[in-house]
Amino acid sequence: MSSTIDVDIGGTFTDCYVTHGRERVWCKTRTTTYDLSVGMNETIEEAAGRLGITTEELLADAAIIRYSTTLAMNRLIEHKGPKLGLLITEGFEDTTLIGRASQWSDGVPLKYQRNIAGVDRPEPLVPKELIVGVRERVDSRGEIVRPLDERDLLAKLQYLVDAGVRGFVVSLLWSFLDPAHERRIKEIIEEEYHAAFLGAMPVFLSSEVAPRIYEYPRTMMTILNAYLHQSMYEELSGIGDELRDRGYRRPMMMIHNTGGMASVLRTSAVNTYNGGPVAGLMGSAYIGGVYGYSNVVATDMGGTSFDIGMVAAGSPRFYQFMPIIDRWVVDATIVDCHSIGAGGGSIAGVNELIANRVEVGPESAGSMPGPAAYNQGGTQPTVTDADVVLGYVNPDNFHGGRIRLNPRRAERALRDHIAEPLGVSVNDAALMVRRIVDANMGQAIRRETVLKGFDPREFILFAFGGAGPTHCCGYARFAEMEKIVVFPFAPTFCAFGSSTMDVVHVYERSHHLHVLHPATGMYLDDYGSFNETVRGLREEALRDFAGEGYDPAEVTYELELDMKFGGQLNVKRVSSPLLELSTNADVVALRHAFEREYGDAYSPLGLNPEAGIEIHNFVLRGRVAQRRPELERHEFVSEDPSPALVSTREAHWEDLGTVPTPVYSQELIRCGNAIDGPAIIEAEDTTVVIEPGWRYTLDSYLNGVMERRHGGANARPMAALAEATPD
Amino acid sequence: MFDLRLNEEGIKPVAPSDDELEAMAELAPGDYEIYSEMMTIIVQEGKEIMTKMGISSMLHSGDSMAGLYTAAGDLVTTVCGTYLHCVTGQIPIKFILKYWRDNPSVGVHAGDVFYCNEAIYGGIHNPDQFAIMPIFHEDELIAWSVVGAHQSETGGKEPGGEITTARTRHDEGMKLTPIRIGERYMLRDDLLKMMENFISRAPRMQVTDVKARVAACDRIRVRVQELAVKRGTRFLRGLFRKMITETAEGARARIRSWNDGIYRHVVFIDTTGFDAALIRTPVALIKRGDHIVIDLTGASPEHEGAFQALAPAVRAHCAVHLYQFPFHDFPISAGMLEPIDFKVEHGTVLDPDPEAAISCSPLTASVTFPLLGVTFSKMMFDSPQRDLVCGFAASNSAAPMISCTNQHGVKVTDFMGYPLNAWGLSARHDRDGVDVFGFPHGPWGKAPDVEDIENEFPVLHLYQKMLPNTCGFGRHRGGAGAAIGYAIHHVPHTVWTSTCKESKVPTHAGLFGGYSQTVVPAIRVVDTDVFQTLSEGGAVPTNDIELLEHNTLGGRVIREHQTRPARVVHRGELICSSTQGGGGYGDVLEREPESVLVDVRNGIITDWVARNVYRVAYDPELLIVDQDETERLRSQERAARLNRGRPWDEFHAGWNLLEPSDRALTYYGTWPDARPNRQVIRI
Repeated sequence: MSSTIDVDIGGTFTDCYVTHGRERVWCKTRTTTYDLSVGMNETIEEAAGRLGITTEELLADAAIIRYSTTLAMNRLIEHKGPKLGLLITEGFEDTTLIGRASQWSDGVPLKYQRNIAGVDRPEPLVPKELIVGVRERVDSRGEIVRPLDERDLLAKLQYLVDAGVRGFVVSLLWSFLDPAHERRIKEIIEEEYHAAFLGAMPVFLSSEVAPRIYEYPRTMMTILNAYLHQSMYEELSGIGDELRDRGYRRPMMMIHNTGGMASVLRTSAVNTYNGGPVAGLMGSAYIGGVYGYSNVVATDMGGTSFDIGMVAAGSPRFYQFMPIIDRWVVDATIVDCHSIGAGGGSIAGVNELIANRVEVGPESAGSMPGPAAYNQGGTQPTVTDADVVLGYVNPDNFHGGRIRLNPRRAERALRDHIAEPLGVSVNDAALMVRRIVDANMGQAIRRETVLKGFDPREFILFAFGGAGPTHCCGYARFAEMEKIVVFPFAPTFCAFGSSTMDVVHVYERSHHLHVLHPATGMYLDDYGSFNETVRGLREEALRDFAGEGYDPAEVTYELELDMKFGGQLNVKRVSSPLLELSTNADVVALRHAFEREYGDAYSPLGLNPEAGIEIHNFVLRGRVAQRRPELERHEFVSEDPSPALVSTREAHWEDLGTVPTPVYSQELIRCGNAIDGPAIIEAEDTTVVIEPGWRYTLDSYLNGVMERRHGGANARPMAALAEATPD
Repeated sequence: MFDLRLNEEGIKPVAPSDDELEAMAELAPGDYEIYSEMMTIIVQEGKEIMTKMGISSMLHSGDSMAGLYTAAGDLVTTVCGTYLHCVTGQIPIKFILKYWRDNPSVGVHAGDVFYCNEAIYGGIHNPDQFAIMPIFHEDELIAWSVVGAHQSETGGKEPGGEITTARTRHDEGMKLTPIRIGERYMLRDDLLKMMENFISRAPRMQVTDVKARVAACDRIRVRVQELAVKRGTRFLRGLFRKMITETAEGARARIRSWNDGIYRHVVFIDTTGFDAALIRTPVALIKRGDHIVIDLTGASPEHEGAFQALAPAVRAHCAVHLYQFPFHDFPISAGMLEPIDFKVEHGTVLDPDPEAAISCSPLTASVTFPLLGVTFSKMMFDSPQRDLVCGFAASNSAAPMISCTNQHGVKVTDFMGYPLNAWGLSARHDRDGVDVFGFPHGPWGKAPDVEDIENEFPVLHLYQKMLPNTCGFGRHRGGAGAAIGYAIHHVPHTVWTSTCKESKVPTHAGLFGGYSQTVVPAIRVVDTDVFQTLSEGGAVPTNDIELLEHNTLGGRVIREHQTRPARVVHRGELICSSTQGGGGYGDVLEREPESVLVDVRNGIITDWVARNVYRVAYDPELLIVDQDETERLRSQERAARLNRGRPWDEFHAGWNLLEPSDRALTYYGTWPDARPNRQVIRI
């Protein structure tokens, strides 16, 4: 078996990347939201066709099928989960309804958050009438201060069953320290409401799903898993069944937002959320390694959003700070892919109150009605309309000609909504829209990098997604980045990224330890407590890997710790230099690792060991490495791109005005071809726009490397303040 | 010695110079859009650094800001937190420019770090601490960065920074006029030590949070300098001026679109801090053309307590409403306040003598929340821009504070962040308010989890949930408030204070016949051991009402005013805190009966309110409306209203005979117009 099949099921398109021997093909089909397996089968069939073999032949030869899906997101938007009952510590029944108070702002763009008169809470996944209080209490040291009142519990369970619940979520205060009450409740439910009477009534315990401190995100994690579990399991299993019927014999692997993958059976619903963009980031890390780039900013510009991920020192090691799934805060280890509302469908308009300020996004025309040029009823100008008007996007070759664009509608939308209100030409209006959306994306890159303590100028930019190669010169300029890599398979990059991922399971547990005690100034000497926690997580990992058929000897481990100075509100995720502690020197090494990462991320000014140093969470990552795809190198052909020149068309550029611009075919470009901007390269599902001042070269991997001829000035970072300040 | 003119004039932007106007005109198309956004991202970076490095609960709760200011000290852009501090943040810069820049003993140099917490020169009260850095490029002062946040300890006579029993400013602890605490990009250890000495109840918080503020300021400085290198100082001058000017012109245009008129409201405060009392605060919102005057004259005279606010704090509180409601979609800069003037009477609780105690000023100045919430709503309804109709919130926005040595052996003093963030939002014209909406001063903040608080402080929460009947009733109801019960755990004793108010009189945020939000009870249970009761199993109260009606905890239940001076609460005892909902909108008899029952089912209102206020008849078991009987009850009530009605002159004559007790009027001023009638002697 030599084939691999990787699929990214997105909201609009299902992307596929297939390797078959030395060949590789990629393609896109429309996502079939009514039944994802239909779209998935279609895209695999399309890929097989491009390879010149039957689908059955491809499936029989496939060593692995990996896929990511937006199914979790779809189910949340549709609000089509089962009726769940929530059992929570009595006195705290409103925890998920209040959601740290400003729940109304979670998952909502800033623009709408600021409109206080218009805010509303999301519709709860478990309504108040299905939430009951359990008489019990555990304290912050894990000691039971109120025993579980089982008689009261039985009455409340009966109430929930009478109300028609189809599953139970149990989330009690401090249950991650002592899960005894949660476990006893599960026993009682299983005893009292046996499956034989009621059918499957799953019970989800927060201490098992997310044994982490902070009851709101822990409870939401548990609810989300319970809410999505059944329908996702059924649908995902269905996908596999059909492929197996057609000859596939290996397990179906799901892409996780933790940066790894696992079999569908060992996948929790929350892990699948945002898997596609994470796969794109993992693919970037892999290609960065092949090229020898240790610092990469991966960008994916699609129709509605612009995703940014970072690879630093060769690793995509950043996690989302207070991740939000739909409208719900969770406390999960999710690889950080930041998203902003900027894409081909982003709507542009003029704010007449504020200096006729042109604003682009976050509202999007989506795929229906889509940009005005789509001819589907959209009248507002979008970024894609600007690209069409400027002559960058070929209206006859958009998505390989599958979507025919109407340039007159694009022009009219820009004229009516931007050019006339501003008193400028339509071309200038289009340029302004493009410049502003590029600036928004460039500044988002700056923000993401500098907030993590890095300088974007020290990074290489990878641009993918359908619109990434079309806008990357623009947003690179605003991020002050000098070098870009674009890929022939840019529109299906996330599917490619899946092919580079390992089997990974992540295990987390909150356990509070003072590494350096604030009152005594003493270092941690209870090594056993640290080591026991890690050991417990390793045992869980071994159980899961064994269940998937892996040899324990294949599994490697990485330990990360959430640490902070005493009293601080936020923790910092730190790579632990050790998996276990055995000497004081080990503890000191841990302290220094924390201080180094903390100082790098924020400022050495903030180092404050006198306040004490604490560990809050242990995060263990178990990994079984997988064979990566080999990127084939090609012989240099020529610098001269003229054989790939297919036409010349008028395009409008910022400093040049409207000029005849060469248009090249991606299919005809050969290794070593160098193209100076302004120029356009047309591929099946994207357009590479080479702006003036940039040079594009097709390298030996047949990827396009774009470099700016001149760089931005550097300002001197002021380190003296940090260096000279006493801690 | 106090420069009061500075804090009055400092809020308005200085007039643009010819050079700034020329530089503004030189901006290329798109520059303003792109680089104004970049400025905001720079400031956001600063704020996130402070939040991630700091300790004070207010960093999560939202009482914080980072801002970028022109060389002359006018706000260019900010990221909040609360909009309060971006407005007042201008004043310390203007103080430094006026007093220190040309003073050879101080001066302003690259690498300087200034710091202040004196309310007269920038804060709302002295818990608000600010780091300020000048930003130079090629020896030219081009901008300032300011980062501020509330910190819940000032070294005053009581812990917590908001000193309920303070009688003068001298009871309120550390008050720093803008001083230089760093030079050549180094913080001075001697001055940090001095601060620690002042803030000895929470030294760890003081030092950590000073560093967090300064690191954030410095990051903003670096980023602005990077842009100055790239685009030059002239570009920045033009950009900054455009960001101010365009906001001002946009604000004028929006104001012009509303109907002219005078819109009035009045609310009453029920404490001076040291004593329960009735205090009056009226407003007249005068809108003509593209100009608004917020006239706050007629407030009660100043008194000896800490529940009063200096005029800059009052203006800044008005700005909170303006930025969160009528101008929520505007860029935030000094220009926003350019077409708006304020009338605040000196010698009143809204602008007392500088020697007065003002540490509870947010609890006083926030009367502007319901005042402007109601008056602007009237104007918006009339104009009509009804999507902006909302009475906003009560003017309470505070929480209890704990001070103790915690279970880890560390001295801590801080707010309980949950009640601080648990106030209800008032009803809108087309829907209910938001339950447990947030901290009105900065509603995007986060209430902490129970496990977060119990990890850091020696308490065990007995309950934390919505409290029935806290919302204002109406066709659309206000959002509900919450109740929290804290049992002292792990340590022998703790000290608590609270600067909440409105235990006797709510500050009315109801609209067009909607009810006001409720008052808030304050309860303690002493001489008991909650843990004994818990360990024995059985029922324990799950909110304040159950506690008062069926106390199963033993001991003695004390009901008190929410304004609570420092008191010791021992292990096993319970101290409770509750929050108000938002005001209602419209007639209760117009609320859909089914919506009333949803509220009953969800514990937002009680059966009594459903039957006696909303006049809904229903099956109490099945919660099904009896439509006919409800219609009959409502018709009956409408008839009763007509019977109770009186001709205006008759009503007015009778109403004018009514007067609160002398006890309630001790600090009110003359009845009813609240003119000074007693001398306040400052010691």
